Amino acid sequence: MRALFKLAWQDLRGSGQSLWVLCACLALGVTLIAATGGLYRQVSEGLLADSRELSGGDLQVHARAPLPEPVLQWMNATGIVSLVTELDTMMGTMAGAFQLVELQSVDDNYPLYGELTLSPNLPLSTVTGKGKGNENGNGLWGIAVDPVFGQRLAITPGDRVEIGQLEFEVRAFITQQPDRSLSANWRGAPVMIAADGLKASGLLLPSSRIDYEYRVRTSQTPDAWQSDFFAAFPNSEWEVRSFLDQSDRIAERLSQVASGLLIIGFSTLFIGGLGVYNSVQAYLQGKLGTIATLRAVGLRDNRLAAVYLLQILIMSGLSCLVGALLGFFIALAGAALTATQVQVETAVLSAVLPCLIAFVFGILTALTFSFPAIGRALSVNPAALFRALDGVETQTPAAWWRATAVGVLLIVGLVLLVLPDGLFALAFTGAVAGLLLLLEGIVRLIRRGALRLDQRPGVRRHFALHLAMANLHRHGSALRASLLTLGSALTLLVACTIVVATLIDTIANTIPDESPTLIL
Amino acid sequence: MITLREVQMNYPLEQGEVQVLQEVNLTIQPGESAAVVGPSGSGKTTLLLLLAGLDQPTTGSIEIEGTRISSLSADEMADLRRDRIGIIFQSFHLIPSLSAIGNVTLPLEIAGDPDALDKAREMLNRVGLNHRMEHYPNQLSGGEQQRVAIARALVHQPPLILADEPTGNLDKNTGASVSDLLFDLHDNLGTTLVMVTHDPQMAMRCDRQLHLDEGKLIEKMHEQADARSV
Repeated sequence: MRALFKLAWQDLRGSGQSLWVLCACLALGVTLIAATGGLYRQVSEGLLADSRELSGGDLQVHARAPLPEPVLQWMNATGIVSLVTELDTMMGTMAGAFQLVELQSVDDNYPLYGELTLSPNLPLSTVTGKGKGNENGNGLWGIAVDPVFGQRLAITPGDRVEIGQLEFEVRAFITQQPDRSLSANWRGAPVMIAADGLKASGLLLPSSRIDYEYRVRTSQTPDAWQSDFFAAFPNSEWEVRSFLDQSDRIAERLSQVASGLLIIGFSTLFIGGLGVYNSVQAYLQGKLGTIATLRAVGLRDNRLAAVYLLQILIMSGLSCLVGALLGFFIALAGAALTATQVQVETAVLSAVLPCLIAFVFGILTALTFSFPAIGRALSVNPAALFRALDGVETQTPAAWWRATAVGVLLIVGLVLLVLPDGLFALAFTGAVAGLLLLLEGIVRLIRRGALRLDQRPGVRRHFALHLAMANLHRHGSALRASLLTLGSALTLLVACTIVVATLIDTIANTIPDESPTLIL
Repeated sequence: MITLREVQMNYPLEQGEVQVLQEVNLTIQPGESAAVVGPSGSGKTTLLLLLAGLDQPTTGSIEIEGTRISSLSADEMADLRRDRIGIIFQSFHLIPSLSAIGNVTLPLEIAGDPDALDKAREMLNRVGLNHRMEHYPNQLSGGEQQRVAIARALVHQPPLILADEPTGNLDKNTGASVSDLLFDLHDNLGTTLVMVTHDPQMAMRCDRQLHLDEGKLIEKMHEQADARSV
């Protein structure tokens, strides 16, 4: 084995530069998969780890009216309860600008998880209390607003605004609100207000649409608490959700986004695989003499195959390593950027596994797409080469096609396992298979058409046309390789562009331009 | 050493089958040197490739050291070439990415010889290229490349050497020196040498002259004017 490795390495040093296309194709594909997978894993694990915080509690009971006292007593007996009251209304500035806002009044237990941070750093009760936080004691209730919203309306702490029948004083910006990221009400920007201030505004009318959200922090499991709740209050019409439900929704949304982006990575790797095939094919065509010579000096066929497989492994291993490392650092950078928008903590180690998976994908792709080319080169009869016959016919032996098939199955299996959204994965693999079949059909049509055209006297009389047709239908022409590579690349490029555009469009339509602290 | 019985070689082509060798019968004793001469396309290289086991005859049998090579598997034939045969090509066929010493060590490293480097150095010294060991084929002249090829073919001391026009791509003077080298080594090592050549002087240096014409092998004696079939 050592001798084979030495031979492979020495031969590669002397002539491996021509495999740069293989390296570039693999590195790019692996980078994209590692970066996308690493970012997805970091963000999703961060979000899911903080899902209690992001949900505002272990469970939430939603009602359109205040809960009856017995229910409240029961809930208080099971843990800590925090009430968040929400109401949409219009807010007007002194300059005459009006904006739809979501008023939120919270109690002293808020937030159950995480921290609420205001700027200036004052207690919420001080900010929203009546006539406090203002040395003049103007008797106004205070509010805290989102800083983006404040910027848009050109209001700062100290300014007055109109809500309902009252004027309120803006006393702080909300710089961190733990349950904001996942509960963004796109109907209005958040404004925190005291419960009494809300009452005083005159907006709490029988016809008002008010959301009462009772959040619970309990030591019981969410399922047990829900069972007990519905057993205690079987006729209730209240909606009860747990942080696990939120997690599932987060996971589903994230998996769709991640799947869309990972498909771009896999598409790149697939196109890269075609590049690998063409690159290895061209490389080994130049090695036919060497292969024949190695056979002549007594190297067995399986050892000869090992030499070239080792070369592919060396080149692809290095390329995939570079790609995985690049992807890792891109994932870290992306996670750091995301953390400034979504208040989650990301773990560096979460990006390691996706990079390893991307590396394995790269190696598998390199080997799978190399097998046919290696098999073809090794099938060359050395006698024909030594007789200096040009255009020696080669065919990939069945054993190498079987190895290729195994590689394809492994890749497909891994794609199905790795892509978060199973439907995406199935659709992607089905689309690629269908694309290849379609392109193969087009190749055969072109060949047949070119052959028929070439048989016409009118075409034969024109040398250039005759030559062009002949080069399309002749055995061994580059038509199949060119059309499959170009066709796949262009099709997947268009598909990925559509995927990205759709994702961006969906996000843009879901999140208003001036959306404050984001996102899902 | 070598026995060919009723060997026939046909090549199937689109335009029809071409018969290259017709009922060739030949016996070469150990240590003999035989020159195979004939016009272009007469089947000389084909005969050599059959002896090397790189191709299979259409009919007939070939035995090397009592072993019928058609009964050998591809791996066994590769092992035979590795251990018992050395081949010298007209176009040298050195591995371009290996240096001179790398090319010469190749058969020994394939065989797992732990002294491959020392033996290769010694052989390169014998062919007069100890000062060019680390040079690559594209840095060597034609004659030097052929010397490396000869060293590679002989480094593992095979009992049989097959040479396909070893001086065919060399000028007269270089060819002469390479020819001298080849025959010196043949004499010193006692190998059996079968050589395809267009060079009559080279052919005359061999113990036997075998003439191929239209696929038929005829042996010509050195001093006799008449030809007789082998």
